[in-house]
Amino acid sequence: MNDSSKRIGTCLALIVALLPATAFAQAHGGGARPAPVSRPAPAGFNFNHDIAPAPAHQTVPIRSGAPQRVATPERRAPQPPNAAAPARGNEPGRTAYAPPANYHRAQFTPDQSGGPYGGHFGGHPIRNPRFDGRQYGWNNGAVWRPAPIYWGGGFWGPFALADLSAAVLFGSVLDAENNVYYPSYQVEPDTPGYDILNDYGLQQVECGPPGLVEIWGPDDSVVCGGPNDEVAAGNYEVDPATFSLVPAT
Amino acid sequence: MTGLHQRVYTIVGLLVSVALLSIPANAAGVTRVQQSDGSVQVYQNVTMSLNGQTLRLRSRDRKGELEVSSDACSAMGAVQRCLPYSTVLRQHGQAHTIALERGTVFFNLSGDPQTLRHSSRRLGPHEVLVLLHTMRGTIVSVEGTLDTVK
Repeated sequence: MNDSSKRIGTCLALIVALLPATAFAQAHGGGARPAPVSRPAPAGFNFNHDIAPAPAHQTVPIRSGAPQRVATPERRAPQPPNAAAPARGNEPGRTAYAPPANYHRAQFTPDQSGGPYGGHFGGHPIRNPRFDGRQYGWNNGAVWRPAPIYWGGGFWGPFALADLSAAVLFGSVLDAENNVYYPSYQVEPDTPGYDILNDYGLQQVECGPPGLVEIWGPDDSVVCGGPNDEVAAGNYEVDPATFSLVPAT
Repeated sequence: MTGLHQRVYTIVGLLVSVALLSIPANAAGVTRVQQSDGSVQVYQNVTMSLNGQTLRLRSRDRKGELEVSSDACSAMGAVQRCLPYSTVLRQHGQAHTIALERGTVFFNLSGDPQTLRHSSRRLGPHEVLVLLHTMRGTIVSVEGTLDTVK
């Protein structure tokens, strides 16, 4: 073999060595991690289970806790909170202030807030003591919008509507006029909802008893707190832009 | 130059072209798709781009694109956490909506490494970490550095 052939051979060997190993790995559906079942990877991404049509007799599984029914579209005048809420704390899986059996869960309505009090939050806002009212100043100026597949749009935590059974039910607010209830869940730390409760010095408590601060968040979500010097008992709506509470009138 | 040499140079040229064209510039994302039957596919060298709060992942062969739309973005220090609510797979000339159950997206849009709160996990500059659960039980994880941000 002459020098020229040797150089060419070396060059070829280098190029083959430089070709990305991942190219071969991906082509065989493998990679750095072990694959329990290895199949030849099709072009693009393989989501064949997710894009296959559901069998006629089977729908996409939605676990318990997903919204089940449509709420009445009409808006009602504010009612006394939870006037008819009996305590049923002994029932398994129920909280102390579970709704009566003849009440239905209200639909989580995107882009609406306030449940039965919707449209009645015209009071003077209680300014958030931690922020100056600058639009979305609490979020480094970035606009916060609710994500539609989560309870409260994700304001109180990443509670998937399709699997609310994983969330801790924390009482409910009743709409006696429509026989519907609005469930509440325990707020998660490191969320806007957790922060706003902290800002006002509010301790979350189970919704149900009268005399609580009821805070309505995005998409008809609600959480409750004990009143304090800053916030009196009553119904309030969160203004996500200023991160303040607006009372119902 | 002999005919043999010419053929060899042609092959060398082709191999170099393949090596250069096979990977998009800087594409270093890794996407792992585990479907409900246990099958796992790991996609290396995924191109990642962010437009607003929509993350686009393009497969290395450029034949598939996964579009993940998020909202409810809140700042956790320099890290932004968002909740994905919609996923669309575009490939083979078709668009498929993949029903999402839940997920989380972390973005480090700063130029410095950041540690996730309550975690030892660090995100490098412009690094993204995504976890998705679909309604049909597929678990998708994505990590890597953004190639483009708009």
